[in-house]
Amino acid sequence: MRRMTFLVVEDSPAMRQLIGFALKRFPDCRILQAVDGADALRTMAYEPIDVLITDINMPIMDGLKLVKVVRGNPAMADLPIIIVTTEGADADRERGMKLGADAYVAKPMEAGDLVRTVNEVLKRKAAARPSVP
Amino acid sequence: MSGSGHEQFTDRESRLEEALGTVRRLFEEQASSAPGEPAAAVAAATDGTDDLLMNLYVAGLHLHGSLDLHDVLVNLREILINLVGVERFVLYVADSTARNLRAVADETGLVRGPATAGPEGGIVSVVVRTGIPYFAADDDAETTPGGPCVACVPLKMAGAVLGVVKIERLVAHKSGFEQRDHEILNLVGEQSGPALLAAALYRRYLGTQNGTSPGPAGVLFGLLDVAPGTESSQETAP
Repeated sequence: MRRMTFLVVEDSPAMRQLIGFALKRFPDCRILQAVDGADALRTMAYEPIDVLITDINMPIMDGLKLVKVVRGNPAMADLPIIIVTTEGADADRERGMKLGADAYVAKPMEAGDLVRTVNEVLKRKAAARPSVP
Repeated sequence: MSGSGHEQFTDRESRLEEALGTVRRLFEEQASSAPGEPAAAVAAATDGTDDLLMNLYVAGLHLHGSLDLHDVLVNLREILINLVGVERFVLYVADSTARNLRAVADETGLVRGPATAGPEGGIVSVVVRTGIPYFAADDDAETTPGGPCVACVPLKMAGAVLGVVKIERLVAHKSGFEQRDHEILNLVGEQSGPALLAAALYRRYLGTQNGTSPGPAGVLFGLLDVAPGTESSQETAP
């Protein structure tokens, strides 16, 4: 069985580490990291990803553009995407959700909140998937 | 111990007593619950402790993760914004008399303002003078001559105040400081000063090397090598 793979896209090294620690609550998962949207797309070109967790405000390519590019690709159209952001910024968060993100977690975040959100999104995605006869 | 130090100690002691009481109560609740019944309260408390320890570990690691002054300031900024939820802040360093403050960074990055400025007055001056952190009651920003202030944390080292972080505003979705924030800001107060001082000394040391960089290991080796009167040599002296 393939291990669940998370891709954490965040320009702050401290936040990348903190999110990584939180995700380690998922047993035997693999956590990949990228520093911005462009870096994430490079990683996704050769690594299968199960959940994408991204910040919004990043240099080079921000999280909103990343969400848009991912959702525009039919191969990744169903990929669970969670935004983790400080943008109090309902406007940015709403834009992210409209572009196709599945959920968001506000910074400063609690590990439990992120884990719960990931679980909820995965359950929702599994329930929406057509059952194979 | 000074009066203020004693008060801080007493305050910390009572908070620890309170925490111990909570843990005892949770264990009693767990012991009295039916076998196999999930002790949700204990799980939640464990989650909270894990979360706090993760945050403290990450903050400490990143504060001391570099000898580059710019990196230390960037990491401090990241900790305040991402781990505490600070939206606006100013980092001041104080001169040896604690009479002058210099703004060196804010939420946008490094501050390139006037080299020195007098103390802002009000809360900031009190914090620089006493070394006791300030948190506004009910998180209502106190207006100081330099702008609003919801909290002011002294950066300390060996009992001296090297500067302060004045927090002007928290992110909109955060209603106030939680216990976790106090612990992280306490770490920031205790650890930022040494981190900034180490980075500043390292930069100065490199500046004396006429363009040849010995690297951190070379600096440490050189400094330890020339340290006068080590304890062992004193012990062996007649």
